Amino acid sequence: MKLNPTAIPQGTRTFLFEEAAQRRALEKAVHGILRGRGFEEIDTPLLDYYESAAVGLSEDERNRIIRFSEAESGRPIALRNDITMQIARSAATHLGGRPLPMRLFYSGPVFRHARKGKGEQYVIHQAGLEIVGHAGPEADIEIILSVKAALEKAFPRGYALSLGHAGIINSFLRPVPAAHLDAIKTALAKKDRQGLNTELEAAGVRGQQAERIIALTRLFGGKEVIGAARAIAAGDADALTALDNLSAIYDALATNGFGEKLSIDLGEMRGFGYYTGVIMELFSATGAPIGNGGRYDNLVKRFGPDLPAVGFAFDIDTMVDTLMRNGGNTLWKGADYLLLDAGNNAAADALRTKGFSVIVPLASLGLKDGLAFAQKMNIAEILVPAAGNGFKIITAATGVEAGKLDI
Amino acid sequence: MTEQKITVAIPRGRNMKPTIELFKRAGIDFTAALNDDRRLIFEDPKSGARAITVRDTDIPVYVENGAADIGVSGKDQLEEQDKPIYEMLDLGFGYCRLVVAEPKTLKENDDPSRWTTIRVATKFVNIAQRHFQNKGIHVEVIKLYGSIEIAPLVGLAERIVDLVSTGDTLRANGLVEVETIMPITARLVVNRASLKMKTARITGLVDAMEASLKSNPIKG
Repeated sequence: MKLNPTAIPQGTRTFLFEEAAQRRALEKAVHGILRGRGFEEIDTPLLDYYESAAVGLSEDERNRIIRFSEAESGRPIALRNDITMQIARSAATHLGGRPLPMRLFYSGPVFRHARKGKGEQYVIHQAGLEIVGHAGPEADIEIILSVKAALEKAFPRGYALSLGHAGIINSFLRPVPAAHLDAIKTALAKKDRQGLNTELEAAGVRGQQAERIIALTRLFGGKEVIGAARAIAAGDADALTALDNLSAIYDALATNGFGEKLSIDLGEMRGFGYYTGVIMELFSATGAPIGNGGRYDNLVKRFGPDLPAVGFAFDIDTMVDTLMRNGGNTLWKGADYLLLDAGNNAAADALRTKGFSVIVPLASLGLKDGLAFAQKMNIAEILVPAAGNGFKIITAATGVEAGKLDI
Repeated sequence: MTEQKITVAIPRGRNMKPTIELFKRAGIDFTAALNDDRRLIFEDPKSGARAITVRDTDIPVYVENGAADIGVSGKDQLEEQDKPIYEMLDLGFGYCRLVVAEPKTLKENDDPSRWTTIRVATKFVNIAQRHFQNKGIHVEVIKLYGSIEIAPLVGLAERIVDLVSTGDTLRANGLVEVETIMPITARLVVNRASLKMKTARITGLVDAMEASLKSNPIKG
C-alpha cells in the first residue's frame, strides 16, 4: 500500500500548543524542585552501544531496543532505552573524586519499539533523579520525598505510590531453577495464585519455599503487610533484612504526610532487573502509571567503583496526558497583545521588555481582520495607534474599547 | 477512610449469570442486569458499586485502563490480549478448552508431530501464533470473528484453533480435536492502580469470593 504523505509511524506524536506548554511547565516545575534540593543536571547521549544498553535486561526488554549499526565497525548502536544506566556510568567514569553522595537529575527521551495495539509510544519523555554513593535508607527516603515535593508542585491531580522490595522477592525466588524463573515471575506479576502454583510444581519448588512465593501475591496494603511478611520470612535472613529496610523507609515516609497515598506491595517487581532494594511505582489518581524507580546497588560497579545508588524517573508524557484529560490546564494562552501597527517594532519591543508577548502583523492589517485573528489566536487585547504615542486598547472578544495605553 | 466506590465489568453472554451470582455472594447485587438486556450500566447504591455489562472480549481493556476496577474475564482473552492486569482468582466457572481441531477425515492419516507448515483459522491469533511458533511450526493464521468451524469445510484452512465446551459443535461439523492448547476458566481480574488505591474494598471482595467458592463452587 502506498504511504499517504500525511501518515506518521504509530507510536509517535506531536505536542500542540497546550500540550507543549503543559509539558514545558511540568518539566520546569520538576527541575525547580530538584535544583532546590541540590540535585545537579546531567545530559547524557541519546545513543549507546547496544551491548551496554542490553546488559541485565530481560529478553523482552532487549528485543524492544531500537538499534542500527555503526557504519565502520558494524557494531550495533541503540537508541537509549534507559537513562539510569547512563547516569550510573557517568558517576563511575566522569565524576570520580566528587564528594559523596552525588545528587543528579536528568530530563529527556528514551526509546523502545512500540507494540501495536497497546497504545505504546516509541519515545517516552522522562525526568529523573538519582542519589549515588549512599547505602542507607536516608537516600531512598530523600528520593521519595523529592518525588512527593515535585508532585505537589507540578501535578495537582492526585497520586498513589506503591513500594516493594527486590531483596524480599529475590530471596524468596532463590530456590527457583533458572529455566522456570520467567514463567514464575510472570504469574507473580499477575498475582495469579493458581497459575503460580502450577508453575512452582513444574519447577519442583515445594513446601515452605513455594508457600512463601505464593504468599507474595497477597502481601499488599499498609504497614501491616510488613508484619505479615516477617512471619512468612522467618528464618530467611536476607528477606528479614530487606523488610527492616523497607520498614525504616515506610515509617519515615508515613510521618511525612503521605497518608493513604502510600502503600506496600511486596509482589511487585516490574521495571528493570537491576533493582536490589526498594522498588517504587507511581500511579495517577486515575490509575495511569506515571513513574517508577528503585535502589540499584550493583549497577555502578559494572563501570568501575562499587557505589550504591537509588533513583526514580517520572513519565512526563503520561503526566501531561493525565493533566490534559482531567480538567485541562490554564498554562497556555495566546499572545498578550496584537499591535495593529505593522512595522512598529519600537512600541512592541517596549512592551516586550516589560514581559508582555506582542504580535506585530507583518503586513498592514485592518481592525476587522485583526479582531478575527485575535479571537482565533486566543489573544485578549488589540492595540490600535491613537493620537501621540498612545494606543487604544480593544478587547478582542467584544471589539469594545477598554482604555488607553501610553508606551 | 473515604467511601470506596467501585466499578465492576460484567461479561455479557455465558459468564454473565455466574458472575452476577459471584458478586451477590460478596454483597453486591446486580441481579437487575439479568432481566434488562438494553441497559449497559447498573447501580447498586447499597454497596456503593456500579456495573457495566460489556462483551467478554472487552473486559481486559476496560480493567486495564481503569474504566472498571474489577471484572470477570475468560482466561482465553487474558492469554490472547496479554494485558498488565491482576488475575486474582480462578473462579472455576466458564470451563472450556482451547483446542486445535481438524476434519475427521484428515485426522485419520495425520501425525501432529510431523507438522511443519500449517494453516489455521481462529479468533485467537496471538495464542495460535505463539503455540505453533514454540513448536517450530510455521503457521499461517487466518483471523475470523465467528463460525470458525466452517473454515475447514470450505477449504479456507485445514485446521482451526477454538474454544470447545461440550464438543457438539465440532462433531456436528465433522471435526475432531487433535491437541489441547490450554484449559480455560473465568478469572477475577483487577486494575493494578485500583488494588493500590481501593485496597480494603477490593481485598474484602476477593477474600469473600475466594471463601465462598471454596465451600460452594459456582457451576456454569
